[in-house]
Amino acid sequence: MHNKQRLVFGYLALIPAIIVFAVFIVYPVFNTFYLSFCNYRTQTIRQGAKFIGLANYAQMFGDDKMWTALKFTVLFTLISVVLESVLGMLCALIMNRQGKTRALVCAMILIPWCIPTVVSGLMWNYIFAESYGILNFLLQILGVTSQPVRWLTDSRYAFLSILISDVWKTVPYMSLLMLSALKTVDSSYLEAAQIDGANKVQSFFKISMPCMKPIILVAVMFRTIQSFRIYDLIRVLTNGGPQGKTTSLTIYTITQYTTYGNMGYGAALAVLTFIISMIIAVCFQDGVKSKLEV
Amino acid sequence: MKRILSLVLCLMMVLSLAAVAHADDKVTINFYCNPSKNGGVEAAVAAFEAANPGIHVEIVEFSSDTNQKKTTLSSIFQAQDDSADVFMMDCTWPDEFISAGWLLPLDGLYTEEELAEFIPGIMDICFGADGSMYAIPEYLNAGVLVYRKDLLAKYGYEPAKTWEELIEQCKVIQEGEAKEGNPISGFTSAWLEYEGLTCCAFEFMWDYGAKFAAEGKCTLDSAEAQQGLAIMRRMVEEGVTDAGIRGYKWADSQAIFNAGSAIYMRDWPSAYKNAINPEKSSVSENVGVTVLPSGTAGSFTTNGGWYIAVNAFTSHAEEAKTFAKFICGYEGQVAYSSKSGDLPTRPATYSDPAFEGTMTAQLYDIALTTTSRPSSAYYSEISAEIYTNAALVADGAKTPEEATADMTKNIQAILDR
Repeated sequence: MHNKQRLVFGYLALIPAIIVFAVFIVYPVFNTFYLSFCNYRTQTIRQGAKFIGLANYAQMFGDDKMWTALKFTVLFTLISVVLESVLGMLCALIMNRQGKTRALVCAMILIPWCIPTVVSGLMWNYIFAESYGILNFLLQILGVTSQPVRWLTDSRYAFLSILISDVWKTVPYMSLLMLSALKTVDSSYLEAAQIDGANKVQSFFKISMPCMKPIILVAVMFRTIQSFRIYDLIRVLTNGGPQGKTTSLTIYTITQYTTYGNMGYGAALAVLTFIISMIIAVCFQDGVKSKLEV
Repeated sequence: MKRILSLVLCLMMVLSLAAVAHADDKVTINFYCNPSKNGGVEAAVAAFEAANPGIHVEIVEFSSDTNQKKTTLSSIFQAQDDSADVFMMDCTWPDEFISAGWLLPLDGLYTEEELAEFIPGIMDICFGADGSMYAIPEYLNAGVLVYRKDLLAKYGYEPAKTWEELIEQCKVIQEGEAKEGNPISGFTSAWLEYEGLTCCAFEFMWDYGAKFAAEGKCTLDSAEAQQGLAIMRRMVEEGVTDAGIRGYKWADSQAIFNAGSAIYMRDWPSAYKNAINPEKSSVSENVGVTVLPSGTAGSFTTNGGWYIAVNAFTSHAEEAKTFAKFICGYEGQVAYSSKSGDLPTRPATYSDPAFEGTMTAQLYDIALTTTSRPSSAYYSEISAEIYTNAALVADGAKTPEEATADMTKNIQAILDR
């Protein structure tokens, strides 16, 4: 009897969490799915949401701006995740070393992650600014360039600028995950390899990496999905960029949803982002599963 | 000990109830407004509260990004929330807000004679398709040319009367200053891809004779519009514009000018007020203001006016309407505009002693003739077409011909909805 009471109490205690989850996550997600099949705009909001089937999706696949945003987002995600993973692993290796300055090095590496994204975006704004930015100032003093480089307003450089800011911000996050992965490698394997005459590089790639693969895959999966949804950094730095060249899918979604008031179409774009994120998660899950079964 | 504690708690509860009861004597309405310029809003609100002791007005400042303001209001209205009782509305929003049913009709608030006290050209937007009045003009804005008196005098120039003249002057001055080791930009403004660029682009196109639409058809695919966009590209190509101009909003552009890094600036009158303020500008003694340069068809300036409207879902309709009428009234506008530098919408106020000798009195003629941007419930999308294409031309990624063709095609699709 006592056990049953505790069981009932346990379920009752879950109810507040379930309510919060239902109200703030389940309902909005289902509402967004429903809206994506409707014509719902602020201009005609009094008429409510009119069901129009797949018309929003048809419009989406014929929309050049959507394809541009998608291409940019995919390219950006690929490059930034690769860079962040590699640099994250390097930083993790540095943080893993024993030594007197370990705490200081760890703190320095982690600082970018602690700064809120919008604040670091504003900071990079001042660094990349064309006529008064520090970067251009340094480049001119060092004699590398004679004219100010238009880091944020030239479509060739804006991508690079956003990439640099994002990588700077996220490497600490990846390095923490990689560090935890490094810790799981059984030191007895490494010792055995050392005795057999393997050098540091060989033991890293042949022993540590295979041990860490499941954790690395999970970390990279999370980062890929996050990176795909990039919004605040781009919003602060270029607001969709010179000539719309740095508009990510999320920025385009929010522009449609809030600036143009086209909420049905915005919802369809949000559903697209959701589906792509799911596909990424499924791909990585399969990869993780096969590694674990080894 | 426990008794004393419970006694103190009871006392605190009673006192807080008394405070709440006292607060109920006054009606509090929330006024969502633009970031205050030199205390203009506070002055107008203080004047209102002095005349209406039973109403307290809570000032809630928006973000300085106009799109962000619209997003904030949209969220509030979609939730049918009553927190924004009275608010400032950009002159391009009324159509959309009226069709969404978010504005309280203000019928009966003004008589015909009272309505005639406003500048006539800006009143159309206030009325919905059903003939009801939904907004009241609070202040106007007209683009002005702010310039460095000392630099122009040094090279023997008068403020440029045409855009071509401005380009020539800037090239000479920039070369001269660079030789002295003091490189400077010629012209700065807000050419980031947002509403600010639409205002500038319209001015350039109107200056060369372009018209937005006639009889429901967009007429921007014209040689006049192309000329207007071409002069923007020429300014960038010849190094006259500031290097960062395609990333500036108004505040960024003002920062450049106030630091002494530009010869000319196109901005609103409040920017001139900041530029001559020693606390905000390092060149405050050397700044002049004049009308914008003209193209072949004259000098046009975009009306950046703001209107006052009342939330349709407010729970204090009477107090909100009283406040709206006051702040757009003679006293309210003088109190606001004398501090902020924005232009009033009542011709009678321009001869008020508060504006004597100020730039406001100088700009009376411009105020009467500012030109409005097209009004449409889908204005945001039309504006996006304009600023996207103007940006492409300024960056040299599209020729003016391609830009006006694309712009007109897409805008026509929006107008045909």
